[in-house]
Amino acid sequence: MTPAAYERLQIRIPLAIAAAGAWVAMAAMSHERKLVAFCSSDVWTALSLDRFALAITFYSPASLAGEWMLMVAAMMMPTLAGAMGHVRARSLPHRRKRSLALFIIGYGATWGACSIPIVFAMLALQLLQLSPVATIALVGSLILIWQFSPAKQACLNRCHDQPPLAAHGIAADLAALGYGVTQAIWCCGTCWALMLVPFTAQDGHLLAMAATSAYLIAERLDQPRRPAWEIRWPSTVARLLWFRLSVWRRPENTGRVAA
Amino acid sequence: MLVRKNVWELGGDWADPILWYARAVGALKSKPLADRTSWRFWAGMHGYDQGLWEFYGYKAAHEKLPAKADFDEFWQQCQHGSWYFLPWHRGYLIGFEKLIRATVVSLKGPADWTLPYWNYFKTGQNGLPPAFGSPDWPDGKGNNPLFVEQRWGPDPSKPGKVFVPLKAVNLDAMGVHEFTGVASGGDRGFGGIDTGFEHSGTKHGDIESQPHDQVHGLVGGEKMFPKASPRPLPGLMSTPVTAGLDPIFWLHHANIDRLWQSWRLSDHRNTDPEESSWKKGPASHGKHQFVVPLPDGSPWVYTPQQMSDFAGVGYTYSDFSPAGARPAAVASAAAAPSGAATMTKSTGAAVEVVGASAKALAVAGSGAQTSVPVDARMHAKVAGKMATAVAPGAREERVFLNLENVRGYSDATVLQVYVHFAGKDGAPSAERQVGSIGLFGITKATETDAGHKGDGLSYVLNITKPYQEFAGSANVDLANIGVRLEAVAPVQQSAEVSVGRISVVRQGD
Ligand SMILES: [Cu+2]
Repeated sequence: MTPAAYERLQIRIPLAIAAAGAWVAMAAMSHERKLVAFCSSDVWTALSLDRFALAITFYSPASLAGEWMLMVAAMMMPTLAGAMGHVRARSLPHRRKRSLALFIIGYGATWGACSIPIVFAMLALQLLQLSPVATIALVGSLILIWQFSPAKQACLNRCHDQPPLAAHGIAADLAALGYGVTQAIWCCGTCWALMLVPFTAQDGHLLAMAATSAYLIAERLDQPRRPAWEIRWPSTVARLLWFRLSVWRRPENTGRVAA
Repeated sequence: MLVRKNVWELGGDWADPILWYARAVGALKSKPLADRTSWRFWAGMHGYDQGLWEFYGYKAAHEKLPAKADFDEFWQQCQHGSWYFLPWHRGYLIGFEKLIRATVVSLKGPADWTLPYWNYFKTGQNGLPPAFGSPDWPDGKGNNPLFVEQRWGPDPSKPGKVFVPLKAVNLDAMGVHEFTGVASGGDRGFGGIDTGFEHSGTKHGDIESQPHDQVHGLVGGEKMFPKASPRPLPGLMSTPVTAGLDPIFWLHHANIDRLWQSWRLSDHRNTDPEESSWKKGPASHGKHQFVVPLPDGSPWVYTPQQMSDFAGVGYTYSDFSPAGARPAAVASAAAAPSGAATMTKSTGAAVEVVGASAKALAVAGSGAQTSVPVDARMHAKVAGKMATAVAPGAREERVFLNLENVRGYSDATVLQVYVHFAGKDGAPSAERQVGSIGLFGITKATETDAGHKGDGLSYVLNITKPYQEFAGSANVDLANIGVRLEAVAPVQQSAEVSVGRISVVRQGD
């Protein structure tokens, strides 16, 4: 294994374990998960304050928030290797854990704040009382518009930022925290639209989440590009699969340079 | 066997191989831009920038670029800042040499033409070979295709006087015994970092960051064009987006390519990567495959594995000694391992920050300086390790200076780097040069393709020797290490060159 690949594993293995834990927890709780139910439940079919109050008491905000954070952890952890590797590499060794913890706190808190507009958007959607087909059409076009927008690409590009980080004293703590916050902002901007997919999928919610998560990882493999209105899909993954398949199909090209 | 020879030793300024090169370059320059076998198509394969190409007259505003399919397949492929740097450029040179040879033959020249190399390290050979510096052909007629107006050299007060100042370059990379290293601040390895699925470009490997980058900027130089831009504009060689347009580019890269093989021959530890992700190239990560057109225009796809098989590449060099000395120091690859214990691979080595500067450092004019606060515990650790002998099989303790997030708009800039130990209680201060950095590629890394602020480039310099020299000294202040950057040519304020952070990093057990 190359030295650089080994270094990446130092971050990727713990992240993969943590993400796997989050996925297992989500799967285990899937029958009693309330966030999706909350967002798509039919308490909203008739708008009334009583029913809203009932819903709020029925679905405790704390457990909703917990579920949201679990979902963020499961879906976002696999995308954090680059940023967390950067924090680790740029910190004094005895501060590494602390800096990584501060990064996670900043990142998590920002995602927590992002949940509010997303949940309200889902509620608003419920209040519109559309037919399932109309809901899918509306959410689908919202997702597509965002995916192909320059703003989305600008956010995605910034997910790769690795700025200078202070190493000593309080400045180091603030730098790690601040990097977590800014990474989460660009990450929310990149992911929010696609994260609506699992919410609208009432059956096979976990599967939809996994597919979305895979797509979000694939998106990050592409080179940053100039933000523009354009149809985009994760082409690196497509080429990767094609390469793996064609290696499997034909003998390896080990020939010498033709004279 | 085709032998690439030293350009200074061909037997005259306009020896036959140079004359034929000039004729072929002339023929290729007259071909349309979009032709796969034209001079400019080949330069575009390395890099392209519409503004600079048009400003310097290498593309007319109305002129068509290659069709999208050709553009996507062949253009802007150059691999910088990854462990694919050497193999990509080797194939690029092979394709180029074939094209020039085919052109030479079509002009009734010799069928064994080879690309000469420019070994600026050899005594008396750091000047630009004269045939490249004269606007005239040997008969005095003035359209020598080897001459390039936008090649200003290292001293802006003497534009056009082109040479490589030897104080700004070194062959330290030849003493590194691993092809690939770490991304976190330790040694990056002779050939560069395995970037995996991550995006590459900001961390050049050892041979790429010295002397490759410096020679680009020192030869190309830069010039102010106040009417066109408030910032200095780079000479062709100074930036990846125009470098391939300069005929000297190919001789510089032939030397870098030669140094790769010199490195492999000079020590039994110096071997190319065995990982299949290196051998198969970036295509194995879903990225672009290596491909160049052959003289008939058909694409030739190649892999690092093919480039690593030197016996199979179809050419060799007249001399493999790095600096062109008598080859006494160069042991054969088959020679028995030298007495030194095999160094443990740096996979799994500890790479740890020892100290880092708090603020960004702006670099303008003749340079800049700052000091890097060092963590007392980390210093004690390093000093302790340095004070004891390395156990057999253990890693030696090494210390590196990192210049991180270097940004700006002056690709030609070369900065000499010094570390400074301030004297205590009236003892004298001491300063040691630890190498230099060349900002080749900085503009693109600052203002990325994505059109937003990039993170810039990061550099690693080995400072083990001076650190070891002073680590145990009671006469110098070790709570702070001074760092001084001295510009070879004045850095324009408008170029906004800055270093985001400077850190000291240890690598060892
Ligand atoms: Cu180059």
